[in-house]
Amino acid sequence: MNDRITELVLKYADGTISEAEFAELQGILDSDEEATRACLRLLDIETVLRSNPEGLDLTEATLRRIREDVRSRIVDRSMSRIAAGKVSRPRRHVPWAAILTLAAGLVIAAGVWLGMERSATRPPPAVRGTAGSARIVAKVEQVSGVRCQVSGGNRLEVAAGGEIRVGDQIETGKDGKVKFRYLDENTVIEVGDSSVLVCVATTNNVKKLNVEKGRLAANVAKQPEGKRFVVVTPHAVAEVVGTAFDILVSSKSSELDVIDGKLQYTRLSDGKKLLVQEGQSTVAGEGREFILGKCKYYPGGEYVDGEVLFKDDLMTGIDNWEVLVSTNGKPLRLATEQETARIVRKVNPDDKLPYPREARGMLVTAFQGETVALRLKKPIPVVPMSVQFVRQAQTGTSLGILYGDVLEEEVIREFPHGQWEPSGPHKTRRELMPLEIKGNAQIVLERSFVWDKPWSDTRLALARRDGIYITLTFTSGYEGKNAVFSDVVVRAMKKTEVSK
Amino acid sequence: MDGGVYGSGVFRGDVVNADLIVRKVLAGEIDAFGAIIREYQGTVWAIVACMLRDRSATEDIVQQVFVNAYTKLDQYRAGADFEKWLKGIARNAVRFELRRRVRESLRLKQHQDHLLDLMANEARADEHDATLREVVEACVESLSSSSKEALDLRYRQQMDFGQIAVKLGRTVEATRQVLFRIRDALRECADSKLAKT
Repeated sequence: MNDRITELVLKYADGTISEAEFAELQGILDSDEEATRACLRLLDIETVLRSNPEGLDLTEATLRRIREDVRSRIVDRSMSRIAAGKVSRPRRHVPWAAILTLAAGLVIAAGVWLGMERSATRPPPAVRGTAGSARIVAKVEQVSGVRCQVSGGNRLEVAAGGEIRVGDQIETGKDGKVKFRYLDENTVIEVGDSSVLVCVATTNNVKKLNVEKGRLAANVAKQPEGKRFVVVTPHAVAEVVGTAFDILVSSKSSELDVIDGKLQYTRLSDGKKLLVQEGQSTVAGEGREFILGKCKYYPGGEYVDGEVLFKDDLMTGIDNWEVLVSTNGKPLRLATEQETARIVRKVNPDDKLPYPREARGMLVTAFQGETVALRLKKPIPVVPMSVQFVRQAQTGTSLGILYGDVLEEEVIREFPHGQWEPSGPHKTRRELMPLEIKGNAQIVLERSFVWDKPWSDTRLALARRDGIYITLTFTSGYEGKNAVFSDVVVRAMKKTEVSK
Repeated sequence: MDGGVYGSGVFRGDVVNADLIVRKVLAGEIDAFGAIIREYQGTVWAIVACMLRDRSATEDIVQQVFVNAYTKLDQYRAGADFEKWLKGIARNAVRFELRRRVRESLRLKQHQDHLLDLMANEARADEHDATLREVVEACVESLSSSSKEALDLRYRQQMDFGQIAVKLGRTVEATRQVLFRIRDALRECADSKLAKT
């Protein structure tokens, strides 16, 4: 290895090499194997020499980054859930509910969604132009975050009140959302974050939307006979009769949750069809079984004898609740969306709100002179049955192990990060539990995420026995700085049709 | 030199302690993860150093490795070799960065390929690192004290050529030449030792 090559390699390692010198070095290495070996040896030595810098301590900076990462994940997840809840029914007053169950990060996120200051996120520069002569089919009602519209060959910023034409493409950024309503019917579409949607066609008989990626939530008006509303993804076609649903499209699959009504879902790879009804879900995609499952957003409240037994999973089943508000002692009335937004904004993330574990009738909480309540819109069918957990069960994924037996009155404690440990028997909720305890079941943890804020969380698990799905609600606690423990209560079990 | 140029960055993770810390973290004590970072940052740094980035860019990747490890902590099985597990995550992060930067200008294709090839096999990467470290350490030991000092200023104390020049009472160009010769001598020494193994 001659001095020139050594000089060039060391300049490369030092980051002082010029473009001309780099081209010279690259040229030498491309044609000289021996020089390449020597060069790589020098660079390997350089790596060793650099491997032990003085004063290396990244502990605090890394911990800060981890906390920020955790917060971001919670916000992202929460936003997805809010988005899913927002569109599934037309009279939606969702955000208030989030206050009670989600961390400070969520409140910030909800604020972002509701149009609060977003210094870090600016929409792309708008390019104004004529949208062409394509037919106008819908009107934009609500927007947030980064979003744009390709219309008539022009790239525009989507604005509330704007028009959507046949052939338009809507794109949203990481925190972007666009909600629009069809002109000739009461169908509302919400394009979630990081999505690409194309309004392919609207004829007299067919309305068609292509979701190339991301999330679309829809509340489709009942279609007159002979009319079709079709949503196409790279993996499936959803033919809608009149329903509310949520579809999440990734490169590998298209996940569907039907919240209300029913639709026909056709897998494109083999033409197999499924009729997906309210409360059901399915996935079309590579390596995924094309079967019916339980809708992720299925209502989670409980309605017994005209009273609401309300536990803390306000986000699950939020579509069944209305927000009521009363100011200065006036009777409670339905809150407008603006009011729910205002309520969200009022919440100081650092406030330690009393955590409502349960309520019968209406759940009522006071906010600075206002009374806010949630009211169940309609009864939720509950099929009482019972179960005894006699064996430890391992989650299907990497979320940890559920230890021990869970008996009638037992409550287990849940630790964050999917780690589970049993605690001794408690009887605090025995009166709420079913009386008959029979049979065996395996628990499959449905979801879990890290929680480092002083707020509570609820987790659901599904137990399957003899074709019956049972919903368990894990009611979390509020202890000091961190919401560490969660009590697990067997309650509100629903019978769900199982396809196999 | 305190701890030698290479030595103190190598940790042999105490499996029992790592397990205890992991259990605490899984129970919700994020701050307990600080002990993991303190213990293994040298190990991770040594892996990431192959990217030959500047200090702040290396710090960024090292931090990301620990963020990734934290996120996947529930996949770590108690009783396993935590250091090995963490190294796997670090090498994955390096592979990711290398691929991400594949079109970056002024990056030698041969070096990228060499690193990706090494990182593809954990056992081989470990063996390569250990052998090279041992050889380089022996070669450094054979240097004169002034050469060791120059290396220490450049690599452990991370001074630029100007600062080293002031420290050594030389011109910047002369300092460059000194470090040039030292590194070339190290290469020759390493070549010679590796040829015998």
